[in-house]
Amino acid sequence: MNAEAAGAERLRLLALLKQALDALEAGDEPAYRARLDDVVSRHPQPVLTSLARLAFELNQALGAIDSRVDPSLADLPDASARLEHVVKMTEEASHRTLDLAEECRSLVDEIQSHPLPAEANEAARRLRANLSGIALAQGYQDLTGQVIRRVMDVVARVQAVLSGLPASGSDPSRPTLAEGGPALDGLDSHGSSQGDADELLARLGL
Amino acid sequence: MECHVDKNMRILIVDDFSTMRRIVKNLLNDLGFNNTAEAEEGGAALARLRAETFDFVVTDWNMPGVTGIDLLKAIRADDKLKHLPVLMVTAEAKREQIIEAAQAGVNGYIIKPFTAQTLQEKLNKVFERLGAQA
Repeated sequence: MNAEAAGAERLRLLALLKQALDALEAGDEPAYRARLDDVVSRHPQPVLTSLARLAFELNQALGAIDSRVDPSLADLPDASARLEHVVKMTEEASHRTLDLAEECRSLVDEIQSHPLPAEANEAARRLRANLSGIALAQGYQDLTGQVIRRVMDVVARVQAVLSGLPASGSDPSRPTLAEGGPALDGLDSHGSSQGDADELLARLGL
Repeated sequence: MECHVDKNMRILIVDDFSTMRRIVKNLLNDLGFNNTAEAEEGGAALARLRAETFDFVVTDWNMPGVTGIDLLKAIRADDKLKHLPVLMVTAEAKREQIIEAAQAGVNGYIIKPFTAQTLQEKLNKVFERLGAQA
């Protein structure tokens, strides 16, 4: 703003304030409020202009980044969708495995309901135990799913930052990748074993 | 020890992964507990606990919606539910988390992945302690 314009702005502001004072002295409430609104509406203008310019420049800068690494950025939503697909596929496969394991256990029960030679009975017992082990091992779907969902969360936040939008549900207090979920060997140091947990709980009186 | 336990007790299994709910349910069935129900997160669990009668809760920690630790705190803060035993079955294995759960009044803590034997041991321990208190 040059000196002439600044001077004009000062005079305009003075005039408005005088009019407001006159209206206030005359007890003309609507006129007084209207003049004050005029003053206020002039005041934030420079700030708003600066903000608009800043937003424009930021957009330009992000646009530049965007076009430079465009192919990988465009892939972010697709990457998330594919990870979600992995979670779904493993979930379905786990349920299928559990269906079959349960069916096999019924079949073993049926076989064992008949008189069997000792070795056959022992084999049936082990078959039953192995089927339980197979079912329990399907817990991997929960553990890998939790890790994948956390990575998807990071992808969504990166995408939001790069597109200049506030990340939806962005919360600084939210645990980072390494802070929560299953502890991964070679990546996380926070994992207690069941033995550690038992010891800690015993000391706490549990 | 198991002879004191009512195998007809009603158990609520809370986990956001349907596979894990099914696995826990199967393991409980193997141990003779056939009266189970399921919820996907703490909010739905709390609604069921308030609407129906349950004797035991097995819950995950990390779930969308109300988490397992907040469910535990809500149970302990509710006059009608505060004595309900809660067993945490979770991948959350940080010291601070285990301490937080203990301070919130958890009855047992199992870290995933776990074995059938661990589940049986921890259940028995919870029942033993409850029996000793009664």
